[in-house]
Amino acid sequence: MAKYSFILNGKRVEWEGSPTRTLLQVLREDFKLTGTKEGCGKGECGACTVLIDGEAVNSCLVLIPQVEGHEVLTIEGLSKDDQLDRLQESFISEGAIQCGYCTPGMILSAKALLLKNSKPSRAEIKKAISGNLCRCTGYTKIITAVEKACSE
Amino acid sequence: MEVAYYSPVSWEEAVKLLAEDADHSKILAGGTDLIIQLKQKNVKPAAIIDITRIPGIRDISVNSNEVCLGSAVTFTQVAEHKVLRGKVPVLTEAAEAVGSPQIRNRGTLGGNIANASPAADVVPALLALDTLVWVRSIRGERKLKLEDVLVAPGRTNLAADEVITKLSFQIPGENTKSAFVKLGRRNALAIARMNLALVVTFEAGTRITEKVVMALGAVGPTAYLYRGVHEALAGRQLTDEAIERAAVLTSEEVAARLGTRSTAHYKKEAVKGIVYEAFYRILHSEYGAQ
Repeated sequence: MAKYSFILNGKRVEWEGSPTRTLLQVLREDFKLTGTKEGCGKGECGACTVLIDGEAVNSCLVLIPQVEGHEVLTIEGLSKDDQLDRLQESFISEGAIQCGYCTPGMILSAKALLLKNSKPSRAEIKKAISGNLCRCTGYTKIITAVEKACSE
Repeated sequence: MEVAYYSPVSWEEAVKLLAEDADHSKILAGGTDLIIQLKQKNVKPAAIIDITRIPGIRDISVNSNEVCLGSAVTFTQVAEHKVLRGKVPVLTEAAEAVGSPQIRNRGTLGGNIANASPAADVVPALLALDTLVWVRSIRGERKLKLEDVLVAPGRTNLAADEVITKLSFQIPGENTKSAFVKLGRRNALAIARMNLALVVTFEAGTRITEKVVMALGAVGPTAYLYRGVHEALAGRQLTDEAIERAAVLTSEEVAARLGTRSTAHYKKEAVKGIVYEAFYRILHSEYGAQ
């Protein structure tokens, strides 16, 4: 058992437990932040995507000690006081959500892109979400939703 | 027995920890291979040694004739490095081909070598650049040519108590162009079915090839340097016929390598396409020297 301290959705938190727990497990089971999903557990689907220091990562492949001293952002941290992020609003308005399982990871991958590039091309958007699989939508509305979030 | 987790902040500390129980310790950098192995219980270490907090391990330095990369430099760092893209696009393209943005943000060059997948994407590029691998243990430091590190799928010839600290290679000369091509089942999140790194040196101001360095991956137990194309093309003009010849030779090489494996039929044909693609990029790329 060891203690790890990091910033989670803007707040400093402390966690104690086994160092072989993944960030995904800790977020969902210990912090009860179930917005981040497990799709494959192997880094091949992106459903578990969160941001560490603004970069998209597969949280199923991060061991909890590795986030010590870093900033983690989950989908829950994107909205502020019930105010949705522009990306969240455009996913809704563009119909880019069907079952919703890929959505948190998809939005966070898009968020990571927008943090570095506020006016990405369509090709850049596709590349940014290339690590997020969606079985429902066929991606078109997702890409449009990201474009829409940038144009406002 | 709880797994011990260490985050050393110096190489001295790291190699000392590793030496305590080298056979039951695992080095952690990006984790995109190791953590899957841990979950699948393919490895059951007594200790995990996270080397990412060692100063300098994520540094990229480029001087007038050499590039030096810390072993925990991520694929994203390489992909975003403008100077590297200008000088060695083969490495940039290889780094960009790995997995997905999420994997590239964590995965490292050293890990790609140490994990020793036959389909590793940056390995052919590093081979074609004649990369040196710097390795450390409590017994000291040594450097090896990358081709001498790779042994078999999942195996390098590094000792259990050794850890890769950095990589280095000479920057190719002025008249050198390079490219990398990956053939995967889809555009992203794909393991390479074949990959190819090509570094071509021309005689100044001409299209006469002086040297052709080609590394092939995912057609054998490790990526390796194939010298047949150089032997056929050196001193000759790089015409369409020459490229066709290169494609045929590489196809024969792949067929010979794969023998009676079921993948031989597909790969020996498909490799021609990636040879054409690589030479096309070399002839039309704005990067690398003119």
